[in-house]
Amino acid sequence: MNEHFDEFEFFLEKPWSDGLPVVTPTEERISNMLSATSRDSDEIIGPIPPAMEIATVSSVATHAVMAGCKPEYLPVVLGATELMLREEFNVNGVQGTMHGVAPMMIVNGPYALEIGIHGGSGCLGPGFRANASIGRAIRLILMNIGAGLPGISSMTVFGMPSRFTYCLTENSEYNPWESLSVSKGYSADEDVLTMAMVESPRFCWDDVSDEPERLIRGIADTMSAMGSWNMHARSDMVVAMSPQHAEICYKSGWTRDEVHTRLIEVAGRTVSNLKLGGNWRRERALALPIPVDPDDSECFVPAIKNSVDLQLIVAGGWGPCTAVCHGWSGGSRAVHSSYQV
Amino acid sequence: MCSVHDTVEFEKLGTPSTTIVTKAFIKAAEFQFRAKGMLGHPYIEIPHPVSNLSAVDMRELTLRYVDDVVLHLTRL
Repeated sequence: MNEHFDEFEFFLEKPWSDGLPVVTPTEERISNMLSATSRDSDEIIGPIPPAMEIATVSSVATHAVMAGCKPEYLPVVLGATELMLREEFNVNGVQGTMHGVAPMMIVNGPYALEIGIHGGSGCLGPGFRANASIGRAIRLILMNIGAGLPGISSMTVFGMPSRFTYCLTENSEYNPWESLSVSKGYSADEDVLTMAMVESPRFCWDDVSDEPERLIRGIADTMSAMGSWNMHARSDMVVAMSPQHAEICYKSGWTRDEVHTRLIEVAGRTVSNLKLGGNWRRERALALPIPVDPDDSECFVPAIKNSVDLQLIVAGGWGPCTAVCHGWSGGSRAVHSSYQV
Repeated sequence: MCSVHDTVEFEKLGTPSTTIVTKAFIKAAEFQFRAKGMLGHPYIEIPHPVSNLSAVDMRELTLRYVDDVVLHLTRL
């Protein structure tokens, strides 16, 4: 670097960053990153909306370098890039929308633990390189290859901190149940990614409940916020119970499925309550994929319209807290897949 | 901005196409037209928002702009 050239400023001025300095993607660093995969560097991953520029193994590796990834993180970044391009995930819609969701990456399986993806205390950051840089690589790909640029091609009203990075694994040490991926039919030793377009978490802090029904009532209330899209469309949701909250249910003999089912049964509002504010519209109610009578004031509208839309995980450290992440409109469906290590 | 992409793809196939954009998404639409090499391609600007319109209001809005759509498609 000469005295007139600052590489960090160069990337910030282009702008080829998320607003923070990036690691300069030198040929040596990119080559080192690519050593973590046997895939051809020219292999096409797919077009990244809205610009529809083509992501390749090489360009994904370049952004992994820029985000601060270790080479061993690359298989996760490649897997996530491929997965998020599935049509039902609708990255194109999210890149342009006024809303502000981000692709949360839930990484299950032995490789996540091997490379240090964190699922315990403080797992949504800051402080953990794998979580921080893998999620950041996805964001840089969305911005630099996809051109999802706030105020230009992205009309997000606020954005949100989780748009910098949104990656975690479950707390496998203290999860009393099967993992999210096992609940979807994968084996415990498969490396699996689940991605859901969700908002930053809203915490349900409950240090009072000592039995599942009361605990779930509180979480369900957080799930059914009047201004969330979940009350007005078929939207995804991630609910991350802390090990302490999960243990309350487990010790009462509840399975993961039973908690999942009960949350869906309880989380919601009546039509008369929904009419008091938020996004209620008669046309929206009639367009829901479940029967809702807008003229029946006692008709119950659940926050989760289809059981596959609720991703229930156990993550975080010890403490009486559950994180609820609401979804976006009706336009994105969570996706999951094993990925190549 | 999938509608911009659709317009570009239709135009490449020789089929006249236009895009309807609400005022709040003008910057995004122009960015996309530029990215796809079609900056200056005409589009139809309508008020924002539309997502909260009733079916009746939506029909009224549609009728206000339908002539513009016909004009764009037949002129191109």
